[in-house]
Amino acid sequence: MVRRFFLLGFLIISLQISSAQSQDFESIDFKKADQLALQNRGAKLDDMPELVYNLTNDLETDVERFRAIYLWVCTNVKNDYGLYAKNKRKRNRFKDDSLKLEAWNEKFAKKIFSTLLRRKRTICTGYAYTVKSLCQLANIDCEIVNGFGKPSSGNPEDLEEPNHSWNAVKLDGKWYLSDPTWASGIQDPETGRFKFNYNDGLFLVSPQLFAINHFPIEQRWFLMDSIPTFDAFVNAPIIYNDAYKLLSNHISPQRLYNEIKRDSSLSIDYELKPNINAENVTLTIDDGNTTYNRLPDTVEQNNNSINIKYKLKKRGFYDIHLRIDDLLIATYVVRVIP
Amino acid sequence: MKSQTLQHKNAFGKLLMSVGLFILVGILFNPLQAQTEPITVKGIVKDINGPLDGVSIYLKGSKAGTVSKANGNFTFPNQLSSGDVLIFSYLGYKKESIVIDKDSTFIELTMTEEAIDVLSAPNTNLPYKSKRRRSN
Repeated sequence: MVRRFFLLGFLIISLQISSAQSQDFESIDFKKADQLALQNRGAKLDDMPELVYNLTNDLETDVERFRAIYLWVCTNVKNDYGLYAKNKRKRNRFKDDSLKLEAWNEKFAKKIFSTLLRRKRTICTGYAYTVKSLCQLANIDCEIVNGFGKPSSGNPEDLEEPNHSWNAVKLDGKWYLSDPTWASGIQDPETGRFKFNYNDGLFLVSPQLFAINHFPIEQRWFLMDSIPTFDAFVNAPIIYNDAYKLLSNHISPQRLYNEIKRDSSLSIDYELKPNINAENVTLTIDDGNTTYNRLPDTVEQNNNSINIKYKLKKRGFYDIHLRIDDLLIATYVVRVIP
Repeated sequence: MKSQTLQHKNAFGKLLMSVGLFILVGILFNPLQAQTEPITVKGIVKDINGPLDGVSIYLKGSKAGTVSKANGNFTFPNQLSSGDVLIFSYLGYKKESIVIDKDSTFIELTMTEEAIDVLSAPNTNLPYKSKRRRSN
């Protein structure tokens, strides 16, 4: 009998250790949480306590409750490009006048909340705020993190003011990062139309990958021991939202702009998420005049590490877009010198 | 000797009886008992500009709740007990919680707005275009 108890205790302890090692929540099936988010599609935000109750009451763990809330926000709140453009214009105009900026912020915050409540449309802060508010009602510790987000369009060097908000959430005593705005869908900057297209890669993200295009104002929200400089962040390669589906870390090259000698190779290293087999790697190369597709010279995958090499044989200036299984992962700019 | 033992027994019985009675009286007239009487909670929710319409008010840990009217007034639909916690939630305002006691029959609450920096960077899936290409 005593031996049985001992064995049972040992089993429980070893199970706990293994779940902590296996990317923390890999053992949890989010089917029920996802189902609840789906069942509550179209619910209004004017009764948040009821919404939270409906989303979380049947769930056992905090991570499942967070999942249901987060997924509901990502699949029910639209990104409002009109609001974004207006806010960007005003913040830019008042960037050197703190009083006017504060007055604008106060006025705009009211508008944000009324638009969110009436039309379930918002911009980043609204997403992060909604996730935080709903989490509070479910007794989950969740924070808004403000900082710099580096979208794929535009020039990274133009990042002067904080422009993005996301969430940090504490689950089982540990903090995690998620970006509900970028996970909800993609905005067409020309038409202003938003399309829901949930990207699960931005849920409880690896902090190392997140830091390639997220730079929090408060350093503690990197959730890493080694923190990149702002300069390194601005000059880091462009990674796309789809990269979050496949990668857990972007290792090299560490800069967007690279210079290599003719007949040398551009060498790219990533850490892949568990169980990803990157079979189909393609490069789209833009030399300024034409755009063409090429296969890399070598692709070597060793467990979760992958190395991709491509030799550049001619002088020139190239934008190299890398795809894995047709998902746009990253862009590197390469100047090839003699 | 025998009668002495009997006397002892009687004395013990009386002591037991009086202790029992004391406990019974204690239970019946316990001030704690008085506190668990149901409490009907009414109130008004405001911010610095006046009444707030549509604030969600609910009993922590349950689905019981109500919403404030246009004049900020509310009557909680369920009878509450001392120690219950009412949560007040309204998008854009800080969440408030109030612990109910026997004097909480009318709650006047002023909610404060959440101070947030409004930031926005929508992402696109457009491939990046380098800026120095033409000059090279």
